[in-house]
Amino acid sequence: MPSDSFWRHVFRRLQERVRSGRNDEETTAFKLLQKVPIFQELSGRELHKIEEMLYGPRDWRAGEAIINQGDPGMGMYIVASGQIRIVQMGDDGFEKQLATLTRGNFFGAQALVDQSPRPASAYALQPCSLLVFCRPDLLELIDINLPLALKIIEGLAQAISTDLLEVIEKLSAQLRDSERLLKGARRAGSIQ
Amino acid sequence: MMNWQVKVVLALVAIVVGGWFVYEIRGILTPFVLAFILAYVLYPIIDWMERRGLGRAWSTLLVFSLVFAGLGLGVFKAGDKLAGETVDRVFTIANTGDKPLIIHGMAWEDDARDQPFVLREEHRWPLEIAPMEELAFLLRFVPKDQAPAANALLIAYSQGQDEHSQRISVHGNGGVVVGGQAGRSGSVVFSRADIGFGKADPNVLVEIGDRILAETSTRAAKIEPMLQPYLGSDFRLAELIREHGERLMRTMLGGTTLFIEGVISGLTFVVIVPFVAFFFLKEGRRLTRCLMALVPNAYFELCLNLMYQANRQIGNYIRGQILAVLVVSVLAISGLSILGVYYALPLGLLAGLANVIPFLGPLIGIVCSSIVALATGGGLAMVAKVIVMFLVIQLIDNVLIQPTMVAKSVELHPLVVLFVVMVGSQLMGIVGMLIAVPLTGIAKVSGQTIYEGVKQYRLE
Repeated sequence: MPSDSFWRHVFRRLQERVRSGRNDEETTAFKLLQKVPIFQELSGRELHKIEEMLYGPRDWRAGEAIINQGDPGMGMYIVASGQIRIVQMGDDGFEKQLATLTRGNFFGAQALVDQSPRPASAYALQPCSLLVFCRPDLLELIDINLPLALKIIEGLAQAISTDLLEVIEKLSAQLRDSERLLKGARRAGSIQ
Repeated sequence: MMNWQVKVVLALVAIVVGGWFVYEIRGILTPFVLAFILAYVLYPIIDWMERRGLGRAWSTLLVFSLVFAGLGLGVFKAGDKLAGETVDRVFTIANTGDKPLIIHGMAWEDDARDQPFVLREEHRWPLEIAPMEELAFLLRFVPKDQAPAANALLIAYSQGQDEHSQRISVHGNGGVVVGGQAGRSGSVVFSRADIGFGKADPNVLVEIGDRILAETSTRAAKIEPMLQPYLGSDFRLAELIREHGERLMRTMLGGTTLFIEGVISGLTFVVIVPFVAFFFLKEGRRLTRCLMALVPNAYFELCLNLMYQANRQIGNYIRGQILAVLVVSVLAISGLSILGVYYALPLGLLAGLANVIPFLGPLIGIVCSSIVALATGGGLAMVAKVIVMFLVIQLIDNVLIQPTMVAKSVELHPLVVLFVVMVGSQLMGIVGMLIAVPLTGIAKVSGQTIYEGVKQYRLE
């Protein structure tokens, strides 16, 4: 009976709705937030609160700039879909590619801490969709829900210290390399 | 790509059309502006409740129930008082015949100067009522005390060759009805033969006006003999003042109806303003997210930055102004009460509100309070005290309140203040005068923020 399958279909859809509790778009934002390390300590209810504070998802065309190096930073971007290229303009005038980000990655978290100029630019490699969590909302959260704000700030501190450790490791590796090179050169007698 | 001239022209057209639109709908804009301001005032309270663990929706609902109840009670009390101060009654004269009805005039049986009944609206006698038409007349009871009052309105009219008169008795505050005739005579129908006004309290405005008139005319009578040698013996200053003063009073009485009409439209305000403010507060976050969704990607962060900064500055400005109004009102009310000036509460509130207008505002407070002090028999010594008290309040305001509560960046040039206050009064009357300066302040804050913000971003 065709009507029978129709009702089964409706019933299944209803069940899905009840299970997810919210409409589809919001749940993708919610699932995305669960993946972001900064929000890892947050409970489901707290994540829904953050979800209400987000801007977007906003869409960028391929090649469009998302943030520009040097501009005052307003907040953190979470990639919902697409590919993003993080690029830094060096003192020598050459662009250096720092990273390529995909779904679940985030960038610009430093802007949540202070409004210092953006250290790098971000461009959309493909058409992409992003969520934005901005600093004034974090400040408001400190005002109205300090425990939740503290959890986020803790996550933020961890993310930044992880970045810092990576940088230190990279730097010391570079230092070791250059020392080795220096030693090799000395041994070869080209440098006194 | 469009070239920039086209863009500029389009932008100018958009600004002109937008400005025209706002000008056209300025009448219904006021509740929205007030709701906007109310939302800013209540925002910190709701934040505070949310911090205590109450959900945002619940906090908003609770605050609004309280504000609603307070406003409702206030309007109810004020309406009660106003209804007690002046009472209007309508009666109609209908012409059911086939000849035109001519009304030659109406007069009070007891036409003493201080009798409390007034025929509202001045009519040009004779009045003609065409066959099968009717005309409404408005009577008002403006008692100066709570003593019983009774009078009768005599109406002289004619239809064809026959001349008639009709007597309509009026009474209030328990006055006794004297006489009274049938409501119908021939083909002329009077809707009522006697009109009762019930109980009414003395009208504050009339009382003040009467005292001012009496005071000035007795003083004028004293200096009359000194002026007469120069201006001729038929120059009677006291009478002139009384005559013109009474005309002014009649206008003021007309003004009271305007005020009552104002209260009625105020009622719709009491409903609309909290309603709009409630949604500003509850849906504010979603509203800003919807607006930001319209902003092109290139300007997203810039607009985000401007929105938050302007929001903070405007909030600080409005909250600062409201606090300043409250402090100045409280100071003025207590000062006037200590000095023993009558009507300290409305005068103090007026002074506090007017204080929003720099330079002119304090003058309004001083002038109004001085007039009332004089009219209620305070004498010049009292006026001097009132002026000194207001100067002290001004000192406190300028040294303590303004620097701490109102942002320095919103200082407006005196000429700008004068200009916008005049524009405000031109567009929206007294309300316009009061909101002109805060609105200009808000515009200045937003403009500054946008300018500062745009400078930080590289825009191509």
